[in-house]
Amino acid sequence: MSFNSNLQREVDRWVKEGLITSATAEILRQRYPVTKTSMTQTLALLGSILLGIGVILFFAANWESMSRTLKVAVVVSSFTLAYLGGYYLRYTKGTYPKVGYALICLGSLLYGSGIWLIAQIFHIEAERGLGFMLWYVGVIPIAYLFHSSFNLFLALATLTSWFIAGKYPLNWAFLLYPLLLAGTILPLALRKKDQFNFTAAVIAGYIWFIPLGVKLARVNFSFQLGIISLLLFSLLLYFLLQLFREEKWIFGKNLLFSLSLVGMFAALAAFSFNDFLHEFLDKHPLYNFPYLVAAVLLVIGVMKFKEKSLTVRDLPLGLLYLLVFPFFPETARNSFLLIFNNIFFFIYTLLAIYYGYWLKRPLIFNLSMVMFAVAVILKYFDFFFALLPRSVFFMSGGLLLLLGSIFLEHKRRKLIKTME
Amino acid sequence: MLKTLAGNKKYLLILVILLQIGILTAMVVNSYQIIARGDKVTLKVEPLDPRSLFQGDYVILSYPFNNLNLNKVEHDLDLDKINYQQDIYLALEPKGEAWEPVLATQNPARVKDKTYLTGKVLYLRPEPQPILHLKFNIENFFVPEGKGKEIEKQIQEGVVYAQVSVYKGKARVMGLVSK
Repeated sequence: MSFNSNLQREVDRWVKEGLITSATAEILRQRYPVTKTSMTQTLALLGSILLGIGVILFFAANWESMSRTLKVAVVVSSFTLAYLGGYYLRYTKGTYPKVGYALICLGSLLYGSGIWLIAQIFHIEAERGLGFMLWYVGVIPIAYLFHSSFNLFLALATLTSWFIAGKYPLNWAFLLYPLLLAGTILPLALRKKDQFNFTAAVIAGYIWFIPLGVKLARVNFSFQLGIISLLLFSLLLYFLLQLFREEKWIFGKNLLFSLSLVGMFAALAAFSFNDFLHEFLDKHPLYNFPYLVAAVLLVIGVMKFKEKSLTVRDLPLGLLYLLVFPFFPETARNSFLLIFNNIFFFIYTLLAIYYGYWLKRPLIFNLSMVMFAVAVILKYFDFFFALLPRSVFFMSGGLLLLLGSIFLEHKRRKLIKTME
Repeated sequence: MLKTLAGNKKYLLILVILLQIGILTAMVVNSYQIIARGDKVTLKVEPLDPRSLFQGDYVILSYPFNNLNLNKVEHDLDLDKINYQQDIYLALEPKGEAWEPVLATQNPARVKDKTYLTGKVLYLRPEPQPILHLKFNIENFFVPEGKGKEIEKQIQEGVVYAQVSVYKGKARVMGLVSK
């Protein structure tokens, strides 16, 4: 029995003995929850996965002694039996709910093997797109019907494989991917408070952004578009985490939150360099309008979804950047933008520090201090490297770093103490 | 209450099973329709031999028109507007032992009354001669496990043709023959 299970039992005893109050017991129960997955369920699920893979490989061997009709009949009846048997054990009889669940998962794997079998019979290349999409269509209702994490992950994996394998141009299929992700995968992950699938869906969402940047600019993948994708992904991640910041179940929330802040920092840093900005504007004039619309729609959607208004503190500055960017006049925008970007870059790091302090989160606060220090070093190199003699450049740089680090460390310790 | 829920779940599960069977049936019917109603054509192939993770041994069939030389076939394609995965219609006519492309077009109306294949553009190499790289989803031929090498050897010894059924642009490989 795990530590958490033991603790739950002890907590019950402590309440009975009057050692702690019910309220304290509840807090302890929430802090150390007992995970529902048992060894039986894990073994049954692993068994199902192995069996499913075995069946797929068995048919992959193109067994000659079976006729086409018989092969199809065997696959159809095997997944039907797995589903019905699983349902019987889990719900009707209710004696082996975990084995029943594993059989339902096996059914979904067998259904997938059926798709590949038929593709094989007719010499169709199923891996490119369609096979995965048909698998997803068949499995997502099962995920909803049984609130099954395994089937939800299978649906996510097949949907993402469909998108990657299809290499779709900017057409309906390309746009369908984020819609299905947001419309079918995320809602169930959120409803189930499914940490794993939630995180996996967030990562799958990022896969959409890189080719989107490429398609919109109608050029080959470039570093600049990678940076824009990074900025957008970080923004989306930021909003998503803001929206669910009170939820305790989200997996690696601090890590994801830090990633979103660092992602925005890296993107804004790139745009504060003259060469990067010039090259970017030459290659992609007004490329970012669709992004802007997407970002605004996202904010509206988030606000409507939760029916709560976001405060200024909730708005990451990256969004403001997107709002301002397209409205500079063509002739003046290069130099104006460079100044604006640099001011903005520093405001962002200062606000991030304030944010960490306001949230009383030392991790965010320390991270933001590091970002600020990196920003100072970057800009020092950017502005003064060409202007000063080398010796003066390095000596003054060294002095600046030394004094700066003493000052920052002093301030950081003081503020961390205030937080505590 | 619980019983009603359980009852509904059962019917919903049966519906989902029917949906899954329906999807598989649609795949089968679609392919059978192409085989049953399609024109039977013979195409020259150049085979290779890799392996598909899910589908066992198969031979990759490369057709001469996978790399279509647009200087050697009639076409109405605007080469500046060729996009990745765009549909191209390839009309076929019998020439000697095999069928060969006689027209490449973006307009399906031009091939409506002919035997034609629908291909997807992979890419265009404009220089030194305009070569259009196309895919038709008839490039795979699945063989029993372990027989890929044997079949490859056989077909490399002679001139190999694929027997293909073509119906409204879609095609299915029915078999390989050595002549």
